[in-house]
Amino acid sequence: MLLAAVVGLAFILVPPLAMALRVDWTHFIPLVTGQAALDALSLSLRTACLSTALCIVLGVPLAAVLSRAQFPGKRVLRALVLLPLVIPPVVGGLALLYAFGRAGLLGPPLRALGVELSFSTAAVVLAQAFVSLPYLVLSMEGALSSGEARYETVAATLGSSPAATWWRVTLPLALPGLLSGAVLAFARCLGEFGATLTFAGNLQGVTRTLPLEIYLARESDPDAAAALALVLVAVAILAVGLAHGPWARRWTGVR
Amino acid sequence: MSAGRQRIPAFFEADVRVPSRGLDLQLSLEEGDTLAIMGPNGAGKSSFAAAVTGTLPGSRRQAVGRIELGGRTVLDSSRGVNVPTHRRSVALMAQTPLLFPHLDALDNVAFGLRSRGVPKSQARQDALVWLEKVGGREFAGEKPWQISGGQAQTVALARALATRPGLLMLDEPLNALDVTASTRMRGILKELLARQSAVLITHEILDALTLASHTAILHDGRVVASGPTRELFTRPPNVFAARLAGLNLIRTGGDALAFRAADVVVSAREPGLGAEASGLPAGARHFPVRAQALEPRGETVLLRAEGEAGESAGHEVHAEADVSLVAAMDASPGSSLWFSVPEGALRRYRPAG
Repeated sequence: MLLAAVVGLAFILVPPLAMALRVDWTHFIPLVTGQAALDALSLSLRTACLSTALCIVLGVPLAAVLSRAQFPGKRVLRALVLLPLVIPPVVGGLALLYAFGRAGLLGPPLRALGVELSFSTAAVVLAQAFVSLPYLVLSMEGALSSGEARYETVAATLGSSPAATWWRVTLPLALPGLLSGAVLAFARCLGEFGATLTFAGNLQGVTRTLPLEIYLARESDPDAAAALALVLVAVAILAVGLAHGPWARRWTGVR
Repeated sequence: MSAGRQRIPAFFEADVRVPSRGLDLQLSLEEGDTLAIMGPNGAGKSSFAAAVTGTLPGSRRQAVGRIELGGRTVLDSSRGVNVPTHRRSVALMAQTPLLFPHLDALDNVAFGLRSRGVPKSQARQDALVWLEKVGGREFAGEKPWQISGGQAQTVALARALATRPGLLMLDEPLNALDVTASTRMRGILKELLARQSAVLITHEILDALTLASHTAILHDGRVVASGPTRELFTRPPNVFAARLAGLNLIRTGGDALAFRAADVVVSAREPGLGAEASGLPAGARHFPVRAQALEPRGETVLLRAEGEAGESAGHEVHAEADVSLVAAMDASPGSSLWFSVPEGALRRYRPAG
């Protein structure tokens, strides 16, 4: 049992360690501060932040409906929400292309409104949000379902309207779930590759995020690829640490 | 307690049915009074509380009928009136405190006032006064998980009262507390309920006697006995009230005989004229019974039996007897026994209602 656990842990930790050993530390700074690398890093951080925000805006109401409302077909709806989690990202990107692309289902009406999505930074955000949304919904729904309805009843008997109860009771109580869901979504956005490449393309500074840059550099400049990969790992660890650090608990006390 | 026959409506009047739960109740309450609601589990006590607060779960479990509170119609299904919970002015205090875990004690008490738009500083000042009334000033700044269950329950009471509700609904508020905490809480409730209109759901007769001027007893979703609390339990009108008061009740014509199970003398043979031999004073009443169940209770055994003939015929009668005595009589379910009650232990009255 213990041995299997150690093997499991090693299975997770050895590959990043091997990568860290492969990094050319003497040239680390110049490797990760090249123009292409900086463009990719900045694009990745900006789009991941925007995508996470989009996930929150779309995912919180979805989670609220899934956890509170009673309606037929709810189980089917929950399964559908998980779809982006189980379909291959490349397929997701293709589906986005057929929906929002120039020749897609919603392409002509969007163009009439002057919106051109495919192969733009907005497309990167859409691709990332598409694949990350289930993480946020699942996490938030779990936080909303665990017995919090009783607090809402008490709030109502104390004269709190449904809207006030949502802001002053439901949301603060679900905040840890929302936070961990947002971090998971953010990390998933940072690592998005398949859907981005398919739907948004690969233009430096516009749609070429860090994972795409790493994949490109792997052929031409393996040292830069390893260094950039390590940066991505560091950013991910930082995000997870922010969400689970000792200060995260205090955030539940927000009024 | 007769619901709405006279046309001056009471401060609180409920005539509600919850068809899905088999509930059909008519209850009323004068302003400032406390009404205790008692009855076995499943009698509909909590469903009634949910119907009054407007928190029956599920869209299909609706209450129908009328509820009036302080001259306001809160529910009138015939006219489509169903005031939402947060505008009913019925505060709920349940078995568990359910303090908001993200707020400290003071902000929990201030919650209802803040919901009404009272500015933060004023709400906190008011909340502090209420915390003081329940003796909770010293843990005003503590989070719910930092205080004891008894303290949390006093905070929950302050939180409910701070909204100055038209009606305070107390659903078994002492049930989850230990003896010390519940004794303290009972004292606080007695003081603070003096002028507050309240409904107290409880299964403890002590709570009803200490805190409620009137009591209603529910059974299978109906009110089976109601009246002034002391009257109800000293002269129980029927077996439901008698059971709660720990009394046997035998109706003979228009009269009632009530006696405690502990006052019953059990014997295996018919007590004859020489009854003094068994230690019975002359003039005791004797009831022939058939034993139905024996419940050991440490030193004593609770004998549940059914009257076989005469005035006790068909009545369920309980007796408490020494373990050794029951063993010596070789009593078992089905045994024929005699229950005798000394004249001095018999309460004879003409029940009201």
